[in-house]
Amino acid sequence: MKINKNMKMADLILMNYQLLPVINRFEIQLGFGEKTIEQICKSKNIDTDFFVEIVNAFHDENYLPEKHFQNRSLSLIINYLKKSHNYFINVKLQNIELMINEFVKKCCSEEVSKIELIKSFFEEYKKELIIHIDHEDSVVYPYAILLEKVFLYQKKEDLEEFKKYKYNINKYASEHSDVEEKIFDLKNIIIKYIPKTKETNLCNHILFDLFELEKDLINHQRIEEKVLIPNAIKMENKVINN
Amino acid sequence: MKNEKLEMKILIFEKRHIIAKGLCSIIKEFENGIEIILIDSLIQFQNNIQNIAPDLLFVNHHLLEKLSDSFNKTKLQHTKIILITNNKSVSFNDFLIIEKILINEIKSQVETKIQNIITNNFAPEDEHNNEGEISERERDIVKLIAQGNTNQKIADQLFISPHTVTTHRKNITKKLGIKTVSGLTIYAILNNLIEI
Repeated sequence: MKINKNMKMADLILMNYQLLPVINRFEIQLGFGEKTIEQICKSKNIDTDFFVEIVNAFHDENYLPEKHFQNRSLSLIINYLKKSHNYFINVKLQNIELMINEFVKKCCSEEVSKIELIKSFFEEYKKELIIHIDHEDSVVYPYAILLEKVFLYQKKEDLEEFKKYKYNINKYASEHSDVEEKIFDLKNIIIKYIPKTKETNLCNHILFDLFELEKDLINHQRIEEKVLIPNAIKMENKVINN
Repeated sequence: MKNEKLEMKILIFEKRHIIAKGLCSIIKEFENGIEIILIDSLIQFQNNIQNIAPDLLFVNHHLLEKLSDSFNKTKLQHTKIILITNNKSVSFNDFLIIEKILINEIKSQVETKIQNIITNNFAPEDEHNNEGEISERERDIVKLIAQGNTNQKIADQLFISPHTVTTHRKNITKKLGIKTVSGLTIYAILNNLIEI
């Protein structure tokens, strides 16, 4: 089902509660009353069409940008992507880490070395994800924002700075790797090979969070690959040809 | 249930929503893991076809006609195409048509065709040995991977070709649901294949 702006915000969440952290990235909090998506977006100064596209893309993985998402401002997209980064690092990864630490504390001595092993696997993954995210925040996104500035205003000093960047979006596209592979592994390891434990609830919650993080990451990557990259390439072509 | 996403994509390019959705659900009955993308407009198709790069393309024959006059055919040169049509005798020289599905075909005919298309094009390399525990040989390979060996070293040690090692690794991933080397290492330790 396609989500449209006349839908009530409350109905959106009743339909798919996993959208909650997504709408939080737009600074929208609970207590929607009977307001529609459009009403809430307007009151918060959010680009309604952009919002609708983001929630659709998250809700339905087959949703593809047609006229949607084309010629969207890169800074708008990047603003959203950065907020997701923040959520991955400061909320999701931290939650999972806390739970894994708690799990290590609670398990009995025979199991502990095995759980420690799973913990170290997670830590390794966390490091990789942070490096990936840092690279985007510090190299890719600033590049794209500058690109858009040059494209829109054609100022000389921006162009000079732009030329100094030895970077292009194709480089990003080709090095853009699957960041969710290890979550896939971790889920399988926990589901299949975790030692028998009494901490069933804790294990379940770790898994729930891993599933959510994985889905969020895949969606994030889809927006980068299907929206950010194609839009940036179009701008690059125009800027370079001028 | 297979524990790995099958790495294959089907694109359905069809304007009539009922037909596209119907086709989609028939395919899913046979193989739930396939990624299916629906597209209903020409512009969207042309903008996205290269990104999507589907393994199979189901397309309405009128839409394919439109593509053959306006579209750069080389983009679809190697794509296997299944025509959705009501005309048995329609043919296209420039495309790789592997099957036709007629709109008025009865249930069993459509189902047989789709089943054949999927099994002929998407059979995993080691179909009979796809589920359950890993074999002795695969165990040895997991051990060697966990000890940090490259494919070449593993091949040398077991007197097999690197290509065979790759095949074994694919099957191991299918069975265990673990893709990365560090994941396999954890598996090996948890299951006492190696010690730390």
